[in-house]
Order: sequence, then structure tokens, then C-alpha cells
Amino acid sequence: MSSPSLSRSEFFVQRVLLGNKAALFAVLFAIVLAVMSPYFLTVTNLGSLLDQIVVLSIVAFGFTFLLGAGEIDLSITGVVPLVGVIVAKSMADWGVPPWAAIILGVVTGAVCGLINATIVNLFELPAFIVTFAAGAVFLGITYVITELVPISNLPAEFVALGQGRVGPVSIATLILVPVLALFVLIARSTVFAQHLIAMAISPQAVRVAGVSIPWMRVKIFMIAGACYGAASVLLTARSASAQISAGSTLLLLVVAAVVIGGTPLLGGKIAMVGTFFGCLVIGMINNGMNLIGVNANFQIIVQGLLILLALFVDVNSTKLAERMAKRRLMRAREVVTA
Amino acid sequence: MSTVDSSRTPLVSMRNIDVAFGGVHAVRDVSIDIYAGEVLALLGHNGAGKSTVVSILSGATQRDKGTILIDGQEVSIDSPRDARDAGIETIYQTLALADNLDVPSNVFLGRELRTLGVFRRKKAMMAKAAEVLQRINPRFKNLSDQVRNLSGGQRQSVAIARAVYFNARTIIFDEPTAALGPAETALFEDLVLRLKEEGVAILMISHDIHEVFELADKLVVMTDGKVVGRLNTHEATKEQVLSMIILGGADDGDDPAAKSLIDTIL
Repeated sequence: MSSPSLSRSEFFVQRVLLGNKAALFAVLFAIVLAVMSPYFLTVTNLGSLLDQIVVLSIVAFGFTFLLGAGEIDLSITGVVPLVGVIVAKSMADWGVPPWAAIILGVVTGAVCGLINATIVNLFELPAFIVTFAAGAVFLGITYVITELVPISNLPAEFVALGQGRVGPVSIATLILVPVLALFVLIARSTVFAQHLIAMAISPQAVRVAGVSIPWMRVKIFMIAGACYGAASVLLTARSASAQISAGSTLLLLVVAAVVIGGTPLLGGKIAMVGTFFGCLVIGMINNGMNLIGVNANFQIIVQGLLILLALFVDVNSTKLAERMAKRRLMRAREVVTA
Repeated sequence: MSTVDSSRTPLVSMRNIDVAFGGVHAVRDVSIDIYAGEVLALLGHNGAGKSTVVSILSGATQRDKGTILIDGQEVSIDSPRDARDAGIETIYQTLALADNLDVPSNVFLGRELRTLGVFRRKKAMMAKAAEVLQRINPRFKNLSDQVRNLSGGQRQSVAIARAVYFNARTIIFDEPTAALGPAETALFEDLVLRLKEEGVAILMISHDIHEVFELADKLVVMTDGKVVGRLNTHEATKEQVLSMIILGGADDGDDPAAKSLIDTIL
């Protein structure tokens, strides 16, 4: 339907390569890793690679909506440990059954999102500051509850959620599939997602169209919060205990995964499938370094540098795509005026 | 042209509207009647209060005093949604388009066709948008483009398509041709005449005195938040209207400075 038609090579560069940068990165990384380590392409390793990105992915799916709407949430570093502690304590100390503890975890995450959005709406403060402060408060509450002692002694059936396997595939990975499908459906087909990307670029237009931006913000932050909650439940089950340091590196990785996936830092677009590939790229960086035997102390440095590189490529390829689009547009105008 | 039939009820009637922003009395006791099938142009300096009057009718600004009647019935217009529910659609000067959405998504923004309450009916909206735009701007084809990639005239067509699709009875145009080229302006003027024939009431703000004389049936001139003149276009002259705008009253243009200014403008 798009008016001035793309030439085949342009279509390939623009839509296939630049439109799926994260997938492209993933394939390139996979080739490099397969060459460097014979172990990379084994079923066991690929299974564990997927398993390792489940928590990151679920947080990133929610975060994609936030970034897509031009919002930001830095409270992840507080919400994730807080939810983990509440979930673990509810089972270990208060005798709450695992299924109820899971729901409690997701709801707690959503409530944290509600708190963030409400403060932003009521006081008209930037989400950047509000969520930064709120994250510190949530983390502080975690410290107070635990007195800095991890909570273990969790029920076996709960731990099985994080550690159980069906063949080479973990139960957590199996959960990821329908979750991804649901988020892709929301991103592609709902009115909500359209309003969400519109409010990042043209908030005034959205407002006069009768859509409440504060209410949109509440929904977006609650969905993201519920995602952090769900991810934290899985993380707690995987490690069979609630750690106060849980999620400390998550924020950086999530932002990187979402942006590498093609959702711009300033919003206006949602690339949900891209986010999954972004998570896969991050997972492969870690997995690859383990396979090749990079010292754990160096891994964080390498991680940081690779993320910088990925963001650099992202920004520049976006500029390239924009230049190509502009050229196409100008050519189309010439055709019209000629 | 049409003369006012006093027995007719105005489609929209704004009565004794008053607004102050902090210490600034932006609109003072303004009353305006707009009839179906008629174009009323609001004229005045920058800061004369035209935009405020218009934004009250479109629900974007709250009035302090006064009432709004539709078909003689009092209605409460406190939000853009209320205005739309009352059949009033606004084409803002900025057009209020979501730049990163395609054409159908903009036509239906906030009033999407849905299934199961949450999902967009993409194909249906595309078909309806194409149908409406065909009537407004027959050369318009690239509906799946983001509206940021469209020309000024096409963007305006999208904004107008909203009003037309949702069967607006009253349409407000804020500086409709300020950003248009000659061909697009001609297309717009043609469209306004067609809307008039269909019985739509049109309220228009414009700085272009020639265009106003071309399109409007009635003129209301504002200065300092007050209405200082009401004229039927076919009885008025451009000199008379300009002197009202500049001098803020029904002076005959005796002021030599004003007179030379008017001559320069015309």
C-alpha cells in the first residue's frame, strides 16, 4: 500500500536488515559463537540460553510499552527484590500457598507501577525522577523486611516452577512463549498500543482526541509493574530464595535489550518481537563469554562495552533508515511535481 | 446570499461567554450565533480573544460564565469529548494529528472501530477512511503512510475527514489555509462550500481578509475580548472590516494613519 514503491535492494536493506536489527545481531553473534565454541550449538546449551533470558525477557516486554510511550521507569531495581521478598516471606513465614504467592507477587508489582504513575500524574513530575526515588524506597523497604538476610526454605512445587525441565527445555521457557505471543498481540492489534505510541510523539493530538494520558500512564506502568512482579517470581523460584540484590543489573540490560530490539529510547514505536531478539542478544553475550571462558570479573566490562556498541550501531542505522526514507520521499515529490 | 431569518433557531448559540486567565480578561460577554449551512468568520488582532472563544466551543478551554445552546437546548461542554458528542468537530491550526500513526488511525483516533472492545478493526477503518477521503481530496491515495510524511494539504484532509466521517453538524476551522499552497487552498474553499450545502454550520478564524470575504456569510470582529462588530459579508466592505479590526469599533476610518495602513493591506 505504501505509495512510492521501494526498489528491491532498498526494501532488503531498509525493511529486512534495519527493521530487524536485533534478529540480525542475534544471527551474527550465533555464527561467531558457533565458530568459537563447538559447544554453542548443542541442544543443552541453546536450552539453557533460552532459560537464562526468561526473566530479562518478561521484564523487557513490559518495559517495551513504557519506552514506546516515551515513558521511563527506573524503579525496577527496587520492585524486583521487593516482590521477591514478599513472595518468599508469604510462603516461608506466613504459610501462603504457592499459587496465591505468585498472584501476590504480580499484584505487588502492578501496585508499585500504580504508585509511580499516580505520583507522576498528581504532581506532574518527570517519571525519570519519580521512579528513581520510588525504586530507592522499594529497595529500602526490602532491606527493612529482610534485615539483609535472604529468605529461603521455599516450597518444592514453587521452586520447580523455576528449576523444572521438560527435556532440554525449562518450564520457565515454556511460559515465555505464550507471554510473548500475548504481548505481540497487544502491541500489534489493540487500540491501547496505538494510543500508547501516539502519546510519545503527539501528546496534544491524543489529548484532544479525548484519550486521557494520565489514565494511559496508569495502565502502562501497571502492566510493566506486573511484568516485573512475574519476572521476580520466576527469579525467586530459580534461585530457590529471595535475594536482596536481585535485579541490580537488570535495569541496564533491559534498556539495552529493548533499544537494540528497535523500540526508540524516546518512544513512538513498539518492536515487541525485536525486544525478544534484543534479550537473546544480551543472553548470547553472557552465554558466549561463559563458553569461551572469559573471567567473570571481566564479563561485566565486556557486557557494558558490547551494549554501547549495539546502541551505537542502533542509532546510526536508524539515521541511515531515516535518510533513505527522506530520499524516497523527495523522489516521490519530484515525480508528483514533474 | 442568505439573510438572517429571525424565526430560525441557531444551530449553535454561545451566550454571554466570559473567561479570565489569571488577571487577563480574555473574553468579555461574547455572544455568537451560528446557523446551519452558514459560515461565520471570527476576525481580530492576535490576542483579541478569537482563539479563546473557539477553544471554549471545542471544549479545550473552560469558560467562567455563559451558556452554550445547541438547537436551542443548553448543553454542557467541558471537554473535547463533550464537544464531539454535541456534533462539534474542530480542525486545529496544528491539525492535532498523531504524526507517527497512519491515516485511518488518525481519522479514528479516540473513536476507533473495535472488536471485543480492545482490538482495532484495521481493514474496516482503512476502508471507511478511504471512502471519506475520496470525497474530500480525490487525489489522496497513500493512506498507510505515517501522516508525518504527508503534505500540508493532505494532513488537513485527514483532520477534516474526522469531522466528515463522524457527521459533524458544526465544524470549527482555526486558520485553515495558513499553511496551504494555492491549489490546496482552492480545494479547501471548494470543500467548505460543499459542507455548507450539506447544512453544516462553520465557524472559522482567519487572518486572510480576502478569503473571509470569499467564504463567510457573516463576520464577527473582536477586539480586547469583546465583540466590536457584526456584519453580513455581502453588505460589508473590506475597508470597513479592517478599520474595525484596527480601531476596535465602527469608526469610518477617519484616522489617517489607520487609513493608510488599510490601503497598504488591501
